[in-house]
Parts: sequence; structure tokens; C-alpha cells
Amino acid sequence: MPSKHVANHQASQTMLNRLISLIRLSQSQSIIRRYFIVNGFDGALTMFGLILGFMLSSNSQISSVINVCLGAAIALSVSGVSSAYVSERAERKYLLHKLEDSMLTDLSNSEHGRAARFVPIVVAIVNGLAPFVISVLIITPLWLNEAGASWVSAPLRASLCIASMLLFALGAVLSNVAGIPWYFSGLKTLLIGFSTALLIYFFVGAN
Amino acid sequence: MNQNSADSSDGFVPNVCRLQLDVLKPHKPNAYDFSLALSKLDPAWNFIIEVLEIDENTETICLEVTGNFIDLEKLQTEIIELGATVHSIDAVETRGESSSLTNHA
Repeated sequence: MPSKHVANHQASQTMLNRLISLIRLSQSQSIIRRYFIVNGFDGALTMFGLILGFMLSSNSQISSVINVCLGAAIALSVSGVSSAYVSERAERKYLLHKLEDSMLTDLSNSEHGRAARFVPIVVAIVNGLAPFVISVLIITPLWLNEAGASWVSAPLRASLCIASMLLFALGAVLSNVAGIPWYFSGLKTLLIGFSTALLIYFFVGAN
Repeated sequence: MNQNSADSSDGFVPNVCRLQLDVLKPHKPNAYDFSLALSKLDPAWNFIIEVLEIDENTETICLEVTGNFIDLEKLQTEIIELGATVHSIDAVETRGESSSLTNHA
């Protein structure tokens, strides 16, 4: 029914607005952005390194590459969720207690108390999803090749290209914060990727 | 208790038309967001906030509410919801309103 859809849409909008107001109240926008970039960068560089390692190996099957990359992506994601939740929850609790001491009152039922409970969950989800989504994007050409898409003729190279583009994109996103041109910031993170490639080539390729 | 709903014996109801409160609140929400949140309580109430003192984690504000039938309990609930506390009621202005008039309003 259309009215039910409208009601559901309004409820989700209200929930989203409420979440945004809690994030604003706790001034967590910058933390969420930082976590997204840091762990997203971890995911992109890990996939970049893994795929390059496989490219330098003599006989690597695409299915094995997918399994290894997916395993690493899941591990990064779980690590991101758990570490961010534990640390953010502790930090938010500490800040809430500090504020309660100043206010001489219990704030657990106020907006500050709710923010201290919900913001760590949001931060943890962002921190866990960032490396997972980025890793999945990077290994998409491998999946397509495995599924029989013949146009993906060099899946490992295609994945490396996507990883490089995502590294550039993450840098470009950071340019807004740093106030520097997006292409300069993007090139800096891309350079980090190429330095990693050189190190891997030096240590793995020499064997 | 809602003091405005109490009908007096001679057909008059008390109408609180001005309240001045001394409120201690955290820095966030700031005075602007704080007044925006309070203004959602009743469109007929006007809010004036003046920041009197700023400490490390808190600030003391003077909250002046004008309007008709200002509900202190409703106001206090929202203030607590925003993480603040009412320290004192510094000024109140009330007038008796005929219950027949309020019923028409």
C-alpha cells in the first residue's frame, strides 16, 4: 500500500535525522570520516599488496585469489568493527562521566547519554564496512572472470587498477579536510600505493 | 503537575505568561540549537537565551520564555532531555484567565 510505504519512508527519515542530530551533538563527524579513510585505506592497500603478490607468483588460480582476498576483507572488517566499538564506547563513557561530574547530574536518559550509546555503534559499522566495501570493489573483476565474463581478460591487472583508483579517490576525499587540491592529495595516496608495490616487488619479486 | 490546567474555584485559571530560568547546560547543543529544540515545544512560546557564564564543560544561561500557558513541567522535561538542568526559577509572571475564555481559545 502506498500509505504504508510513505509511513515507512517517514519513519526511516525521522530515524536518520535523529541519528544525524546525535552525531552532531557528540561532534563525531570528523571521527567517522577519519575512521572511514583510515580503515578504507587499510583495505585498499591490503588488497593491492595481496593481488600484487599473487601476480608475482608463478601459478595462482583466480578462485584461490578470491578466497584469500575475501578472507582478508572479512578479517579487516571484523577487526574494524570490534576495535572501533570497544575504543569508542570507552571514550564516550569517559566523556559522559566527565560531563556528568561537571553538571552534577545523571545524563544517561538525555541526548548526551543516547549519543554515548549509539555513536560507537555507528562508528564501528563505518569502520568495519569501509575496508569490506573497498575490498569487494577491488576483487569484483576476479569474480566476474570466475563467473565467465570473458571481457575481463586480465582480472588481476583490472583489480590492481581499481585498487589504484580507490587509493586516489580516498586521497581526493581527504583534500576537502586538508584544504589542498584533490588531484594533489589523490596523487599522494597513489604514490603510497606505488611505494608499496615497489617494496613488494623488491622483496617478493626477488625470490 | 501542570499548573495551567488547574481550574480555580472562582472560574479562573492561572496563565503563566513569562518565566525566567537559570539553566546549567553542556556546551553542546549551543544556545542556538538549544533554542531551536525548545521552540518545537509550542509555536506560541517565545524563547530568549542569554549565555551568562562559560566554564570548561558547561555554561550557565538565562532562559526567558514568554507566551501563554507556559507549562513548566513540559519545559523542564525538554531541558533535561537536552542534557541541561534548571538551577532556579528567577522570575515568573502570571495572570488569571477566565476559564470560559480559555475554553474558547
